[in-house]
Amino acid sequence: MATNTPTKEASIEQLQYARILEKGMYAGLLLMIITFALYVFGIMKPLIPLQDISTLWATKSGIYLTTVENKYIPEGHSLKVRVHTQQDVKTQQDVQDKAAVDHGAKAEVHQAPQHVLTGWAWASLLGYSDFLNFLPVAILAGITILCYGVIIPGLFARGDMAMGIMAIVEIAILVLAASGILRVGGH
Amino acid sequence: MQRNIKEKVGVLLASLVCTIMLSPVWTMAQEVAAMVPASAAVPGDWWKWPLILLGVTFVMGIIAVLGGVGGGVLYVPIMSGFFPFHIDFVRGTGLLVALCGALAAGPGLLKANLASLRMALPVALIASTMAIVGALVGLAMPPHIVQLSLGGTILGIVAIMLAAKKSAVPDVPAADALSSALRICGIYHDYATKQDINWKIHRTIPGLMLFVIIGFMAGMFGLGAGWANVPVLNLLMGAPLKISVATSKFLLSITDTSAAWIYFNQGCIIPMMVVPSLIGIMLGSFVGVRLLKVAKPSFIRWMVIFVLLFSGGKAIQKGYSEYQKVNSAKPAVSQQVEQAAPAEAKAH
Repeated sequence: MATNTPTKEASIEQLQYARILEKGMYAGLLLMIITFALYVFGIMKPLIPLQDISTLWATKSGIYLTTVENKYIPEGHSLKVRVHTQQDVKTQQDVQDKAAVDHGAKAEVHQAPQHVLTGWAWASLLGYSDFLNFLPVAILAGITILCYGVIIPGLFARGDMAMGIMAIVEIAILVLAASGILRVGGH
Repeated sequence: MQRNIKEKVGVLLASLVCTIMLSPVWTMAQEVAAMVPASAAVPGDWWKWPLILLGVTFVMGIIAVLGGVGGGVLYVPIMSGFFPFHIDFVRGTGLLVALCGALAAGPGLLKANLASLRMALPVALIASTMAIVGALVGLAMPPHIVQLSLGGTILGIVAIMLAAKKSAVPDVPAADALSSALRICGIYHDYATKQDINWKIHRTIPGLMLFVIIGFMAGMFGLGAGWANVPVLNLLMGAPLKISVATSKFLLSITDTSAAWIYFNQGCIIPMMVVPSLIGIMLGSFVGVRLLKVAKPSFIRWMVIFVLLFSGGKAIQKGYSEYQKVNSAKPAVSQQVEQAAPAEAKAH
């Protein structure tokens, strides 16, 4: 039976955490090397042509997203349909604003449309080698959530309520960050 | 004799690395690369970029280990200051660089009971929450403000490196109420002194408060935060140096995760930048660990300070020139508006 008294050896939860972290880290890195090889050696087709990358990474991320959304996402893809829908809404708003101004009224202040290629939208582009590389990145960034999830039952079983609650709150925070709900306006 | 030769080769290699990094020629080359308009990139020569990134981050990985700093703190100012990458992508990649370093070291440090999960849990909760806020604020700010603040922060880090002392086992007369309630304490075996060190911490609340700022800055600039974690854990909260360094490294795997998700979700990750950078830093770290045996610590420390000073100055200069560009564009726009206004008035 484990105790709460400190010992020279790492606690059960600490070792559990370390084991999951290690496995996730190796899996992520291995997958990263494989997916990058598929990408850089042209084994799989990328969405953004390799020669165009060096012009895109010099721009602000908002411009990069606009370019990818308008220029590279193929017609018929669900993301492209969303791009067109947003453009139609924008055109309609512009027409309404112009009509309002012509009649002496003030134009409405509209919120800038959000980019469609944010959050988890990359998951719908996994068939392209460049976006396939996002999978290992997500594993590396997500493994900590799993580590916390694994240690929670042990913490509560040992009556370590404070640490258990902190671990639950941490999971909630990391899931919130990973969810894509938190967005930067006008980016 | 053979050892002597090895030592000399090691020192020579370390010096060569430093000379390349600090060389004005190297800097000028990067300046020229940065000045080439993005649209002038020659189609078909894309392959040079992963190789350049791999080479530069390899050198960076060596220096980071020898200088005892994280990869992120070198990566962000150097890549944003001397290369044609936008700071949005540099910060996203910088966080992943720091995250991968922490993920690679974390399991071993936890198993050896050098990184303390109990100490990391409350600290990580505050730092990761604030890293999210920092990332959101950083992404909403104009790039020139980010560059200027980054430069200021890097110069601040230099000041911390110059001023901060380290205490192997700080004297903690008694644990405070909060750390006692959370049972943040432990025992580790110090192989150097062959002793079991019983440790506890104090000043937990002021320490946790400082992680509000540390987490915010880590998220805002994508720097990682080992430069600030260690002094707070060691000097303020009284954790032994080895425990502080190990817990700080492990802590980055949580703090940087939360901020990295924000950048990831905002489209600030480009695989062609991320993967060569990660591989380069990791390979460089392996070589750095080997060179560590022969390199002179004081020389390396001064070299890192110099590199950071230089990149901090460069970030400020770049931020200022972007600020001037923005400002010079404003009068031109208002002049056009002023010229258009009388014409419109006449027409009406």
